[in-house]
Amino acid sequence: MPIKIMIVDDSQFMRALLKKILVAEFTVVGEATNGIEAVKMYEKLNPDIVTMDVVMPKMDGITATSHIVKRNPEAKVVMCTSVGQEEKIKKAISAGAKGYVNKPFQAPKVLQEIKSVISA
Amino acid sequence: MEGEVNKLMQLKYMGDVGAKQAIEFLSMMLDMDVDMKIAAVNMSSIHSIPEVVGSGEIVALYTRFNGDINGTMLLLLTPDSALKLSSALIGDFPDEESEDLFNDMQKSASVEICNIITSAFIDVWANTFSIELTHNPPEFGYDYSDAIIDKALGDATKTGEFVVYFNSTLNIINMDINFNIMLMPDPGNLQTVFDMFENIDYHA
Repeated sequence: MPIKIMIVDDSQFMRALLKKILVAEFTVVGEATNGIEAVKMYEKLNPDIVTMDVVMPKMDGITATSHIVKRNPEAKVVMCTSVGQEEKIKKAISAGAKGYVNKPFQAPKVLQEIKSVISA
Repeated sequence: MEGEVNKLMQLKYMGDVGAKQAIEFLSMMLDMDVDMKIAAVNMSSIHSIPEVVGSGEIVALYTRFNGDINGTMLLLLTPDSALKLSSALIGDFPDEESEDLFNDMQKSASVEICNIITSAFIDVWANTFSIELTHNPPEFGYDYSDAIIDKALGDATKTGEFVVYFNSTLNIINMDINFNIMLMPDPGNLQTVFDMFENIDYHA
């Protein structure tokens, strides 16, 4: 059974970059461009794992994560944060994120973190 | 005069370290050979910007930074350079047709470059001075230079404060792309930067 993954990032370029990394090993079932879209899309698609940007318009990634985790405490969300955002990582983990990768990211590290969260 | 030279040396040092950090970030993200050099640093009145960048159409990527130092950072480049840069980044990603000179993917790629270069510079300043700095997601603008400067800098253009220019070159996939990085601390904040230099050994 292929693992279903959803990408959340307001940057079209970053979504394309992440998709390029992920499609080799996962099935990308959806792409959301802000937190509100992410929460709605999560309910509809029920992905196995979500990559979530932090800074986004309309609703940020930390708030979106807390909404998703409230609906499904088992939800697996990996935050994609810019370097130097340690405080935001702490908030994201408190909101229910299960892992994080720093942007700009390297493909092997992204895949490694996602696999580690899936198998946890 | 000597004081001015020292200030420019200090700023050049920060620019060089910022460029080194940006190279690391960009190479990591793109998995490509990237080089970036700061050819020169200058400091002058904000009113001199149109003289430096010309009065024609220009691409500006700009963002506010906030914390112990506040201000605006802009990357200014010609439309041709911006197209070359975004095309190099987009590579084999699916691209779309657009009636505008820049389609959404090209704008998004350009913004991400600005994000990375800004993050690199901000990180270096924050780490060197042990201060807190954050920045907003950058915005993309394409217009005549005076219109874009007004939009990017807003009320700051009326205060007549100084702007720091880093004349820079980014080499990516064997293409040299020239651009200007402009750092414009809010009024009074540039002096704060120079005061901070007094407490560090930037030659180390």
